[in-house]
Formats: sequence, C-alpha cells, structure tokens
Amino acid sequence: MNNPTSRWRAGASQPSESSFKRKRGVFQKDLQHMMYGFGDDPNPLPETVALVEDIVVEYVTDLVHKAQDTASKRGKLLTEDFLFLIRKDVPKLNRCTELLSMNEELKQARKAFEVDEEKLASID
Amino acid sequence: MLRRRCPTGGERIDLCRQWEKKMRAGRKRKRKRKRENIAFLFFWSFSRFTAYTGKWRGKKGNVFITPLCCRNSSSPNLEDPPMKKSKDPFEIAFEERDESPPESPTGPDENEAQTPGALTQDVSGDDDISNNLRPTDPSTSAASSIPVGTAGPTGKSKEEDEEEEEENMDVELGKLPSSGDPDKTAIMQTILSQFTEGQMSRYESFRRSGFQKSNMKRLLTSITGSAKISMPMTIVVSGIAKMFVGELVETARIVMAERKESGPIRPCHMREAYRRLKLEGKIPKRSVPRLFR
Repeated sequence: MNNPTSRWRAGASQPSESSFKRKRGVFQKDLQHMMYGFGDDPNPLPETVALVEDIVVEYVTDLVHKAQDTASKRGKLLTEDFLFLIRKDVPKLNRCTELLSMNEELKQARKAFEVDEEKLASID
Repeated sequence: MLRRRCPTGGERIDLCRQWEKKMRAGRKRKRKRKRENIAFLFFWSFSRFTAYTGKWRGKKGNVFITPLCCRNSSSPNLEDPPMKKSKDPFEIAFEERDESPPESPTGPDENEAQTPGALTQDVSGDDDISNNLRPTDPSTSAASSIPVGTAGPTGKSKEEDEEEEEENMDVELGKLPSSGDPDKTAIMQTILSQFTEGQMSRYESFRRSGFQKSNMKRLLTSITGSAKISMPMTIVVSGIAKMFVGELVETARIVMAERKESGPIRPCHMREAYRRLKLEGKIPKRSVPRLFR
C-alpha cells in the first residue's frame, strides 16, 4: 500500500502535475490575518483555521469546476466565467470588477513608468 | 569625454578630470533620485490601489465600509483627546517612517525577496502588493510605511518628495486612483481618524490580508489541470475567496452572538455558519455529490 505512493511521490517533481495530495496549512498564515481582520480573535484557534482552509479550498474547487462547465462550450477558461458565476452576488461582483479595473490601471502606470525609464536612460 | 564645458577651460587636465568625475557622480545621484522618486510614486500608486473606499459593498442601500466587528464595538470615545481627529494614524505612520515599522500582523511576505528591481514584478493584486511593501530597502521604505493611502498623507508625501522637476508621471499617478467620490473619501477619513488602536489594527489586517498569489495559482492549476492560469484570474479568485472568508467569519460571529458565547470562533460556530450560507445559496452546489473525500 505504501510502495506505489512512495514511488509516485518520488516521480512527481512538479506540483503542477495532477497530484491529489494537498499539504495542510497552505493558507494558514494568510487566513489567520484575514480572520482577525474580519472579526475573529487576534489569535484564531488552529482547528478553526484548518476548518476554514478546508472550506475555502472546497469552495474554490467547486467554483472552478462550475466555471469549467460553463467554459467547456467555448473551450478556454476565462475570467468572465468566474464573473458570470458570481453575478447574483452583488458585493462580490462589484469587488471583482474593481479589482480588475485597478489591475488595468496599474498596468498602464507600469507601462508609463518603463517609458520614463527609457527616457532617463536615453538622456545620458 | 566632456560633454559640457570645463570651467577651467581645459588647460588643467587633472582638474578637468576631477570635475568630470564630480559631474558624473552628481548626474548619477540625480538620476538615482529621479528613479527613487518615480519608484516611490509608483509604489504610492500601489498603495492607493489598496485605498478603495468601500464601493465594492454595493451601491444601493448601506455601504458597509467597515466590517461588522468594527461597527459593533464601542463607539469612539468622545473623551479622547482631540489630537486624534486631525491626525490620521496612517499619516502618523508616514511621518514617523524613520522608526522601525510597527508590528503589523502581515508576516508571511517578509521573506519574499524585494529588490529595487521589484518595480517590474507582476501586479499581484491589492493586498498582496501592500504585503510586499514591507522590505528594508531604502528606496521603497518610504512607500512601505504607508499602508493605506488616504487623501491626506498622499498630499503630504507628494510635497515632501517633490523636487524641482515636475514629471508627467506625478500628475498621471496622482489622478489615477481617485476613482471614488470625494464625499466617500471624506467620510472614510473621519471614520478612520476616530478609530481606537484595536479597531485600527483590525482594519489594517482587513485591508492588507489576502491569499498569496503563488499559492492560489498553484491551487488553481491543480484543480483545472491546465498549466495556464492568467494573473487576472488569480486576482479574481483570490478576491472572491477573501470575501467568502469574510462572510463565513461574520456569520460565525452572528451565530456566537445568538448562542451568547464569546472568545475565539470555534469550529462548531464555523460549521453552523457554513450550513447557513449553504441554505442561503451562497455556496456553489455540486451537481455530482462528492465521494471519497
């Protein structure tokens, strides 16, 4: 029973391969700060954090599966699929559109920054 | 090779060389200053990126600018010395940036390598960016101590760092993030100025926390099986997940209030909260039930 898993583990060098093992506590540190920010104790209980992590991973998994179902007709998985899934949830939708627009703004700022850098380099 | 006229007229060659060296050093410093200025403004715009004013909670009805916890706790103490009203804690933090950074709960991103070349790093979403602004780099330390930019400190920072050159960059970056209406920004300022220490630290956690982009990307890759996960997709999913955690925690707190319990949230509260969210339909349902979990 242990042999195949150990062999398989030795072979799997990259986490991007479809591996079903999932390390516990991937989001633990971030989750602690997040839960404190949303109203929990400054030091949340570790079992609560583990439970929230499980819930969140399951939530994201289900979300992605649903998005893939929507996107299977088109072929590619796009960001719009996620936005379609949360269309009923107004706060989430607004937040995501704001995040995306901020991302665009920052991209523009970065482009402008690089242009300036080139200008500076060309001055000398 | 001298590009400008040597003041000694070129007759004393050694003087010319020294003068040339000084000019080069001066030009280098000026360039560096310019770069630092731009870098600072760039990171300032990153911090402004985090300074959204709560529009995302919905345009109609109440705008929940602060999470439930801060609203439920005791109202600001009117007997407090009035000094807090005029000074934003973030302003204070900005002005005291020479001191060691305050112990803020954002720990995990301190080991992420921050180099001056960090300007070319990927856009990593709002909170992650502010998480990344923790380093001890002198070029970015100025920006890093500004956790959230509000109208006050940003005005001051521009004055303090502005030099003779008026870059186009200044104007563009200054105009970029002011997407919220001024009323809301003003309301936010008044609220923030009246926060207690605990409320401020909680608010700071609320704003700065977020899922690591790398971890989320890895998770998404493992779920989808495809190698290509675009950055906007990671950002969107991280945002959705964070709001989901918020709903969970707030519902768990409501459950605790109903049961008249206090202290840290226990797993039983969390499970009850999850059950309630499921009833509300906020949790995506699987068409095929999950087996062999």
